[in-house]
Amino acid sequence: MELSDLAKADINDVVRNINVEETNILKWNGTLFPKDPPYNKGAFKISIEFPSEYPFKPPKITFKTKIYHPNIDEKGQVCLPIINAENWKPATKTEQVLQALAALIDRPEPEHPLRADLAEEYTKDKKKFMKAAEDYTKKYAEKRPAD
Amino acid sequence: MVINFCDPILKPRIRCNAVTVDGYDVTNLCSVNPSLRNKGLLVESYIKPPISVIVHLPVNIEIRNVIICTAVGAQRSCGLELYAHSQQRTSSWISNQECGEDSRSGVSFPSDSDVNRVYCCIGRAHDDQAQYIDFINSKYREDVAGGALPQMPKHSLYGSVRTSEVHAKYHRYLNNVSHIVIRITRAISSSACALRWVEIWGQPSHTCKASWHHAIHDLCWKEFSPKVRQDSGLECNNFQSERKLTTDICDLNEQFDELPEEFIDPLTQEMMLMPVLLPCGKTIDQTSLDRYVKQLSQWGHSPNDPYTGKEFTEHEKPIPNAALKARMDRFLLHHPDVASKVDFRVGRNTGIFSVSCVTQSKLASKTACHLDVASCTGDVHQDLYRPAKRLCSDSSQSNRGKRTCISVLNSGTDTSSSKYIKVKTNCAVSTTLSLHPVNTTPSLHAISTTQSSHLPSAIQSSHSVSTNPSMDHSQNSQSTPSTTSSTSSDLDTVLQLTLANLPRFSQKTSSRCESTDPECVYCRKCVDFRCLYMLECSHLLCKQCLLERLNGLECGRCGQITQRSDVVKAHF
Repeated sequence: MELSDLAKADINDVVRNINVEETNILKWNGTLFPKDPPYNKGAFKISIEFPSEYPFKPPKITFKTKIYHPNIDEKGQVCLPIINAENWKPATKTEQVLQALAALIDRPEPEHPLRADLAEEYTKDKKKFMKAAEDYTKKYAEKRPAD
Repeated sequence: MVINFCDPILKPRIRCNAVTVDGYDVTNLCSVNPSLRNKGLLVESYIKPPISVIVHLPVNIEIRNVIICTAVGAQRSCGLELYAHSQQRTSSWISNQECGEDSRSGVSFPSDSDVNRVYCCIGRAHDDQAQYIDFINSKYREDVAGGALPQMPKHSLYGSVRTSEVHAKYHRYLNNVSHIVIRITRAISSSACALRWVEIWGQPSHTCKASWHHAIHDLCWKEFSPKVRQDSGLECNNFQSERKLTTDICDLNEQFDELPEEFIDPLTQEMMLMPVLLPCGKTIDQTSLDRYVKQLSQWGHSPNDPYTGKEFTEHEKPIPNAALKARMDRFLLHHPDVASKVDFRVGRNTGIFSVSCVTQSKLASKTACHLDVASCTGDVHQDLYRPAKRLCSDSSQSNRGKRTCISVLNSGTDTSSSKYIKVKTNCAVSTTLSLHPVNTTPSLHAISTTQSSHLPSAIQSSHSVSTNPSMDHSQNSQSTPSTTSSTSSDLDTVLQLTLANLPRFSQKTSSRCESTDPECVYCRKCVDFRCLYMLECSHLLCKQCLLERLNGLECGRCGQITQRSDVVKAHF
């Protein structure tokens, strides 16, 4: 089931290099390439962990790379409504989850923040937020390949 | 009986007196390689007509018609002449017994120089537009005595066809033809001479030996039996038809290797056991839906569609997909190997009725195999299948309400549950157990232990072993079924037993009862089930004994004291 999903998810060009961990097939690693500023300067490593009850319980996405984003906390935990345990539907495909994630990165939702300070900054002083996020991205994010 | 004597299976020999373009050799016209055969003959552009193509036929023939496709790509011949030669022959390469490879090479083509002298012109056609030229012999009469032959593949014609009658001075040039020469007299402007394909239809002439007739007959039957013809579909060009044939075979192989996709639960990607149709139109397994609903209930949501999230209503609710279930059952019945795989997956804690359905259909096929009635396997399958299915549907109907309870019981430890499932192959025990979950636990363990050594062999479809526990543990003594009728009557017995015992299901209180025989611990003789009372230790006593004792009831068997207020009525 994961493999078929993987093939589908691979179509997505925002998230690349998805590979399954050898020791644990329920854990996938991938790299996120956001399209829009301020995050389009870097690449972000993410890991997707599927519970053993998958698809009856949602997968868990964490950021391995530090990111300056109101919806992602310092530990890399993501607040994504689609994979909220309460809203989760077993019919949701991993591809849809990743698409939702990419959309969240490009358009932060300050209404449901994990980091309230960043959300406040995002709503009140967007220029400052963009500047800080870009600096942060340059400092911590992975290098993008030459393409 | 009409045969295409240009077909590669008859190995006609074909030769051209001009240089051909690489890859467009004259042998393409009767090549066994479909891609070559599709290319045809193309003469080098600097060679001008006339060009002769000589076809040496395997036997002397009566011509019905000769169809020639004159276009190879944009290159097209437009003027054709047809010549025939009648040469009596004593041997043919068609019957290998009479002439081997040596004599085959000995057959000589008449040289081109004496084309006009030896050969007789039987037809001429000239058409600038036509794609195909068809030379027809109107005097041809089919020889019905030759026996029926399968239809040989032929090219379908897309485009204009020019038909032309053939005439000959002597009948032998039509009725006893050994060689045919196709002479290209013209090609359309600035085109090279080309022949895409040639079909020479006819029947062996009367002068042919009977053995040649038979040899041709056999070859045609071998190559073009109706089954092959069916696969080759629309008689389009042979290359495509052969490709289609191979894909058909691939599909068949896949069908055997893999389950049809419709049997797979889209959520879990596993074989469904009890498909249910959702309001959104998708079909998922009942177990998946149950798990989803369970997850939902954790969040306080009411059951809804896992795809759309719409809540189920009176009119929009999941319904069992009976048609699909029937298809799955049929598939499993015909593929015992797949059924065994599915059985293995049953090890996960799945709904009990779907499980019993599968295992029992499996049992049916197993029994059929064991009965060793290869001659009437189909009948046996059906006979066994019917009662098994009825049993399943009946039990699932009457017990829909109890289902959850049973699956809770079923979801014990993995090993015991899988053992439990395996034991279920004995239909007698399985149904009794599944309908008396209260009594199941002890007896199940008994079976597990007594059968632990036998289990592997029991799974190996040894019927006698698998019926043993049913004789030991069920109250009704059942003889080992040895014929079809007794097996189906066996299943009927089980069904009746099952239905008769249904009320006992709700008897939770007897869970600690060691013996299933109701008996008063004091007087040990009352057998009236309606007047039995139960002590805290779950031992029973009759009404008479209860009335005799005022308080402090000491159990006659285990000695535990029960207050009179704690005594409850036992229901059976």
